[in-house]
Amino acid sequence: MKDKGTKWWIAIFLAPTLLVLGLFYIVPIITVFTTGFTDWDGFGSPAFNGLDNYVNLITYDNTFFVAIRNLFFWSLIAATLHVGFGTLVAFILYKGYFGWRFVRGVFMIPMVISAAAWAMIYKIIFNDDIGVINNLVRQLGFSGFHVKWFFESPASFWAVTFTWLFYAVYVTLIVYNDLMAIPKEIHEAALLDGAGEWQITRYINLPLVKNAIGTGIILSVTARIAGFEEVALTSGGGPGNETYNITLMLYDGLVNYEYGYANAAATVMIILGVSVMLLINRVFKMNEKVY
Amino acid sequence: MKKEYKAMLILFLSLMLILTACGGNNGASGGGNTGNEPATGTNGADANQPADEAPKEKVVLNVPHYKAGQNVGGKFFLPQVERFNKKYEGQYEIKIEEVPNDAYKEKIKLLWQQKKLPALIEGGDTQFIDELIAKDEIYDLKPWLDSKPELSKQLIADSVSYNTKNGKIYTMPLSVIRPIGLFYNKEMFEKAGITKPVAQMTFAEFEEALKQLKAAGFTPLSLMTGENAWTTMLLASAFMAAEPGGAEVLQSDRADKVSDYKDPLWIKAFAETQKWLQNYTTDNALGAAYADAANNFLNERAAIIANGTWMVGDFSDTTKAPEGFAKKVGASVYPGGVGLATTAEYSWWIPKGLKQEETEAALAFLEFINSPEELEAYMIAEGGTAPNVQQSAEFESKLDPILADMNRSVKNDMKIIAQSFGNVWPDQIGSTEFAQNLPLLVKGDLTPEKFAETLTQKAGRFK
Repeated sequence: MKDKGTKWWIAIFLAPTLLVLGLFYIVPIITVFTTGFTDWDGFGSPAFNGLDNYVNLITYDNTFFVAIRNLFFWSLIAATLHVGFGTLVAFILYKGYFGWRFVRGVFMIPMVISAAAWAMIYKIIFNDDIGVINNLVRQLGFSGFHVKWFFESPASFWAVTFTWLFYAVYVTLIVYNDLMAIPKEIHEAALLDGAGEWQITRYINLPLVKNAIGTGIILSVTARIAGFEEVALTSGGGPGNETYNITLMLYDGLVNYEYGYANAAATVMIILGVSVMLLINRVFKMNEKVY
Repeated sequence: MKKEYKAMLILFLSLMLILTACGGNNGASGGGNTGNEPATGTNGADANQPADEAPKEKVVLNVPHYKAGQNVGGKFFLPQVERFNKKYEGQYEIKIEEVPNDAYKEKIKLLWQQKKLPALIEGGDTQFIDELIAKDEIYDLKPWLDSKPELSKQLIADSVSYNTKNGKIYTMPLSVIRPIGLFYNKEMFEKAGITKPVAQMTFAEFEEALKQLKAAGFTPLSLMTGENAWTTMLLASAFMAAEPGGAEVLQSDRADKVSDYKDPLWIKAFAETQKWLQNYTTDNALGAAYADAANNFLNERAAIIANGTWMVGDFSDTTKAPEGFAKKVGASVYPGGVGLATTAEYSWWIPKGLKQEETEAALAFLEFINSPEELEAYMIAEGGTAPNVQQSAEFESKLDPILADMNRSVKNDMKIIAQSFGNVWPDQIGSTEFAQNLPLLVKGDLTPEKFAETLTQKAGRFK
């Protein structure tokens, strides 16, 4: 009887969470998935059209392949440079050098700036007339330097990349937290064994924060899959479709009343996101305890 | 057992609590952005049906609109709203909520999805309005217009015809049309030795004038490829309208959309656009937004800008242009005597399902802005002609010299009236794809033929 009572209490306390999960996650995901197989303008009833939306999404022109290519390179940059930068900052902060609190505070500032505002800031930074980048290059003696960063190929790809490349605060935070959680005894034992600072970092700290780095990679790659403002508000996916991503394809579907098409794009995004999560979980063996 | 009952009770209560918190008042189908304070008992009633009670207190309509803030249209529109509020003080009040121009159509769609459409909407996405018309979700203005013969007789017949569907008038037909032309810097023209009026030039002669301007050290055109590439699109539209057969493609009352641009007419217009962007425009045209293009002209960094007469107010605004700049500006229709205007567009509309007093307030506003005095004030401020409205004796003398210049050009030189590309393109092409692909055209990554092909393909995606 006691067991039964406990189960009831567990059920009671889980019920609100499960309800919210069901209403706000499971049901919308099922709706997105099912309406991806329909012709639906958002007004009338969805009409089943098989795989038409997926065929249209993938084969209509080269936009889908451009979006996938961009995603691949952006993910690669995110998993290496972006996460690497965030991790490096975390290790520097962990060392507690002079002024680390100030640096941490400054590094956190982007957290309070919306992605949309951030995109607009970068649009100004890369502006040919008043932007810092071009003016700096011209000051260095290249007076004819007039790259229109968001409107020329291949500059637009890199300009869009720069809008998020150094915005790695969340990576820094989770790695820093894991570093702080490493028991002091481990470091003391290493010091007694004669390990130097580099060896402690390389052979103790880095392996012990691998789960945090893995989480950072998942977060940053999925942010690339779902990224919208940094593209839509800067290059708009252009020139042509050179900086397109799947989110913009989804958006195109929405503004053109092709909700079925938009939801097919959303389904692709969900599948990609889950796949990335599973892959990185496996690569980093994140289910195993580190100590 | 007692414990289980208690557990069931708590579970039930928590579910109720969540459902109550999640649920909202979604019973009203309209008026989400309206705010008449008193409860009048007509909530959600179809405004085409008479209500039992008259409004007892002031009706406040919250109207999101792009003609506000820094938008050039706000200069006339906001004071006009104030005049309306003053006239109907204590009865009706309209409060404008600023929405960026680019976001307006999306905002309206979003409000529709939330069942919170405001009582007054100006234009919007054509496809969206067509859907609403098909679903009969827009208030029929016909009975009201029939009861206002004075108002009805001043409406432009082509516009009434365009706005009439299935015997109903869903959006307010126009009383004024404003052919869009161009503005030029007279001082620069004089220094470059250009004497022939622009409207009397052919486009070949126009190019010679551009060369003369360039030779005199001026940047001839203020073009843009950002946003919807507005100024570039206008000039290209005028070029095509001046070509043999072009005006037929862009005829002013054409209601259907063009989604194939592989015809030589289009390709020629794109080739000309490429030439202008490569040779005769400012350094910052690539990626320039409207504000940049306007700024280039207002600060005398370019000699010519294609734009509507609503821009005239900016010429004498010393926060935007140097003192005395307005005196240097001339206005004209395009080379070839082309004026760009359309009667095939949706103007103001009122959603169905509002409270009756809200609909009445909205109708009062439409009547107010279409009164002869307000139409005249509008034409004085922003230009245009109202063929069926008698102007006052002082009208001409009150007119800004630049607007008078434009009116003269329209009257004396306009031979062709056509729509701009923006009116005949599907929204996706007009708002995104044309501008997005222009940088590739400018850089030579796309030939005009390939550019036409790309746009055609894009137009076909969401047919």
